[in-house]
Amino acid sequence: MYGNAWPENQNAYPGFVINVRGVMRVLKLLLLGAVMIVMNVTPGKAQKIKVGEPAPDFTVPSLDGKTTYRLSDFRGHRVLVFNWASW
Amino acid sequence: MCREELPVWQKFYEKHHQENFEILSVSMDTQGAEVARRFTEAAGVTYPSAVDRAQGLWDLYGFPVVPNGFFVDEQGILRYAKIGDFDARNPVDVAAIERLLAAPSIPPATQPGFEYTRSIEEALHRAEEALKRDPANLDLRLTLAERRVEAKQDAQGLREFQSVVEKNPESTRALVGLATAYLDLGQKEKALSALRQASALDPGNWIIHKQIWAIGHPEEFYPAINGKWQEEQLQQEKGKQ
Repeated sequence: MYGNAWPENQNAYPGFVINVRGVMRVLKLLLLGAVMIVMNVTPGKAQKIKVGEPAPDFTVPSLDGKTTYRLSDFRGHRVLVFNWASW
Repeated sequence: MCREELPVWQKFYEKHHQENFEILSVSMDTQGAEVARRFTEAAGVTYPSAVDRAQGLWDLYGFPVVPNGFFVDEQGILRYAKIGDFDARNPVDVAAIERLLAAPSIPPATQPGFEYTRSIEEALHRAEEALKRDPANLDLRLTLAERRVEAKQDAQGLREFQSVVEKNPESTRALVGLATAYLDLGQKEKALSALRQASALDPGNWIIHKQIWAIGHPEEFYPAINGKWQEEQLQQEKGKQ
């Protein structure tokens, strides 16, 4: 699945040695939730945000399905946004 | 894994809520709010909690993984962001947020009872108006499609998502959106097919990948997550390539 990404990124991450044991270790790490690795070794999407700049506005529905939250409505307050998933 | 963080953030919220501070949690569950709500309720969460089924927000921010965290100040400026591995149980992550909270902050004078919420209908209306002003904008069409699904206008939402896929077959956000509409209409196989298409276009997107697993094999994720199954599944998929 992520096999194609390894050779391309070999130079960018010289600390990684490409061998079967190494790949297996990475797979285990993935399963332990170290999904950061996935992001580092796959081209994926570029990061679109920058610290020090305005946070892009968005609207998301509340979990009760009745209302929505809009980031810009929090203006005047400090807010930590974190994301998670049930899986 | 991430569901275990909910009660830890709840404790953090109780400790700092009085410091002009809010938490907004956003679940990435394509299945919808219901599956996520089970866990926020069990954790006794009182901070605002939302769901981003079609990855609209994470497409906007460019996050291919979960969990992430970011901190926005009183003026709406991004002060901190960690992509992947952001964890309430990691002292480094918690310290980063507490450092930002150490500066004094005065809440603005708002009318009593203000709760940062707007109705689904209002959000839908706003999305409709935005698209009217710029009908060729596919991002606005996707936002409208998401709002339609949230407002339970699934058939219309489905058509909007389909029209975006026709114009841009490589839009993973449209394909994931299509899956949300199919799921609500009870068409699980079509939903999975749309998600597989999205996954093929963006193989590094771990969120879509795990979402396919959770929808296809719910028994391995609810009530308990079967790590061994995921390990085997990953090896199996690796073998097929």
